[in-house]
Amino acid sequence: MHGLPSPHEGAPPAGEDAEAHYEDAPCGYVSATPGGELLTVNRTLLSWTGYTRAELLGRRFQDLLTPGGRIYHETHYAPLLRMQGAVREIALELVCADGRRLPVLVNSVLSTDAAGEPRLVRTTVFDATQRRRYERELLLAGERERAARRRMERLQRLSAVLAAAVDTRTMAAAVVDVLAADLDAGEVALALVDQHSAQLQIVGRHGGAHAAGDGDLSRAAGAPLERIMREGRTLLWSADTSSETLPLAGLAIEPVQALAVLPLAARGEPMGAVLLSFDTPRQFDEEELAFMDACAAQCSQALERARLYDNQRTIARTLQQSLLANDPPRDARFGVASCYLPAGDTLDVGGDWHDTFCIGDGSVGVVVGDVVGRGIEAATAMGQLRSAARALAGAGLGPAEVLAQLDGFVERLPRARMATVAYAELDLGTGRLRYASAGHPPMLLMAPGEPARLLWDGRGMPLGTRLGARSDAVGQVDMRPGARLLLYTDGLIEHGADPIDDGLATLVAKTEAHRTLPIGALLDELVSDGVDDDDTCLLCVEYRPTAGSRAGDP
Amino acid sequence: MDVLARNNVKVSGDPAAPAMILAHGFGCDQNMWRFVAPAFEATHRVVLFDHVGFGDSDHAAWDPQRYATLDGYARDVLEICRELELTGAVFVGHSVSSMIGVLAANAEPERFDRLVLVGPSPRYIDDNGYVGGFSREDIDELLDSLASNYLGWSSAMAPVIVGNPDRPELGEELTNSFCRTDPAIAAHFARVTFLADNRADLDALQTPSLVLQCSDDVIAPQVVGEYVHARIPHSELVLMQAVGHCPNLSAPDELISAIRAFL
Repeated sequence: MHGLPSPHEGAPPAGEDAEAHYEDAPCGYVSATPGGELLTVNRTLLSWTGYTRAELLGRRFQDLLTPGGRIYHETHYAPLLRMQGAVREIALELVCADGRRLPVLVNSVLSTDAAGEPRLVRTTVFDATQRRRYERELLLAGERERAARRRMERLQRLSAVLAAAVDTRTMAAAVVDVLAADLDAGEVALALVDQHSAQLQIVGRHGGAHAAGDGDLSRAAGAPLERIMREGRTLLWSADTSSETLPLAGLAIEPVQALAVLPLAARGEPMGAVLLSFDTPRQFDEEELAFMDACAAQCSQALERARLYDNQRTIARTLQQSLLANDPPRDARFGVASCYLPAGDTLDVGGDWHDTFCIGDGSVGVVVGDVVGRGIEAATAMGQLRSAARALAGAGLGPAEVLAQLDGFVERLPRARMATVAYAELDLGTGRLRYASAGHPPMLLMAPGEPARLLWDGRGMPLGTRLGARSDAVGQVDMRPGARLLLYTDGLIEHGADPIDDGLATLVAKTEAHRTLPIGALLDELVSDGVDDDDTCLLCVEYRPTAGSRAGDP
Repeated sequence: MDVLARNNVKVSGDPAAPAMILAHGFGCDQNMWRFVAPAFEATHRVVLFDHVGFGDSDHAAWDPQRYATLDGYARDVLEICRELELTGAVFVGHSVSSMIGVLAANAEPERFDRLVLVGPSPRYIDDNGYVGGFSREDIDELLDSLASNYLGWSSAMAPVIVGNPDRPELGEELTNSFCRTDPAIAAHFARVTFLADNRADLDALQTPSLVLQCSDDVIAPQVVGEYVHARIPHSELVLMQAVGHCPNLSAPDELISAIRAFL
């Protein structure tokens, strides 16, 4: 004791000896045969487990373990002890006399005889109740943290996926797919209130085979969905914990083990709900609920954005259609066909247009133009430019002057700046065609018995380029009976990075190949491959003079 | 893919003699055969290996898909046979590896002349009249035991062991130098092993087999050993004095004699 004074130096207090220490040590002591049969057990372990000494002696140590612990003992503990001669800090659970389980940490040493054969196993047993509880708390805290991180990552992924969708149709598909994955749901349905009919309808579905409940859901089965949407509170139902039958029986989605209904709202207005059903039993804790609400909030925002986009697109399309809609003049002396193809992968409207009108009694004017940009503004500018072209042409100014006037008009219509226009007037009596172009791709002429050719004369800069006065160049060509003139916008000849010349050559070849088709069918053939990322507008006029209207006609 | 490195295959004994493959069971590695393998080196070409994810196998080769059932482990055994050009071998499988041996022999019967099944069980969980000895809850407890016992596997040491299988001195400071396992792999293997049902595979087995049943084996009780014997067409059942599930450690001499008598 290094000289420290002690009242009992050299002698332990009365009653303390090795045996007393063995019996009442702060740990359990066990001696057993190599096979586990208990030979001695100290009093501490007896009091911890509630067994009497007589009950334990003769039983095997592994018999005190839980069944799972017994497997662990046989597959890990015993082999290690035999191979290493010792094992330390093995976590096990002892089954006490009253069935209670005591978490313990166990150390064992194997003693061998002179021949190296196992003779005896000495084991100390430590009560690890507190430690095990703490370890479990740590484990749980770790799991919770991982779950929180996973949810965060899923929310980020959700917003990335939703950001890629623009309109309601693609958004609905994205919402059901990503929620099915992120919430591990077997089946997901998205119901939205239709803006026009005010009906609640399924607009997206993931998983599940049946389609029951499609149609108006708002008043179905006592209108529970509508109530959930109105109250704005998530509904959770689990077969495990709820004795009630499902509140949404017969509705859009069949619950298997659990169901969640997330209301969606935009600016306080209910807009719909997401219905999720789960194949496996599911408990919804607060964190899970908060996560689902966060997902629903993101989906609401995205769907609201998609709805605004849809509205804008509908307005633009309606506007564009109304601007383009008017029947071409009917006249036996010419035929005309036109078509308009919206771009493939964008839903915004473009500023392309075509028009056909009579000039006085003896001529017909045809025009195709392209306003730069997309959306409502481009469509509006197109409409104004189209009306202006029609008005100017009607005054009999001729192609060069019509384009010059339009150039001036664009000065007061900035949205139409850089628009390109191809304009031609056909004298229905003589077949003389006069044409001009403001930065527009060349018109194409197909005369009977001649190869198709591009018309390169009468070219000027796009409208509003402010590069000085317009050229007054006008191209002129005589159209024979049956000759056709094709006007089009650049969507027809521009394909990715391919040179324009290739596009033009292709157009000429294609036209040649189908020259015997009627003009409507010809246009269908020209756009049969679809268009890339630009709107495309085509117009074809065919000269059909009546017999005797022109000297020398066959 | 170097199959021999992947499974840490060790070959000893007489290269010209018939092959004997010793396959370790759940919980440990080829060290389990340390008292048994030397006894057969005079008469056999002895092949030891570690299942992927255990011992000094290539842990990076572990793949939850490939090893989702015991068939993945059986495929490894056959790949080792192919690599070493083994035919007509004796396969000695301990515990779950006895069933892995049955699957391998069913797939490529010409590889194996004889099977020795030490403590086999085709299904551990009781099922509708069948006694396997355990309930589903018992297996969950085992998984819990695995979760709280990492046996010297810590996140600091794991990369050292996995990254340097050829430098065993790095592992020496670990509490347990045997039976090191990535806890995640061990839990997965436990699930695959203890939730498996290979009863139907027994009927198809044509290879003559020896079923070695220990006394008081809590993992594979005697009724299970008798069941295995009854369902394998050409099998013998030997009840051993050895107590417990690991006679290869607790009673190597008795085990060696039983195998010799069968061969």
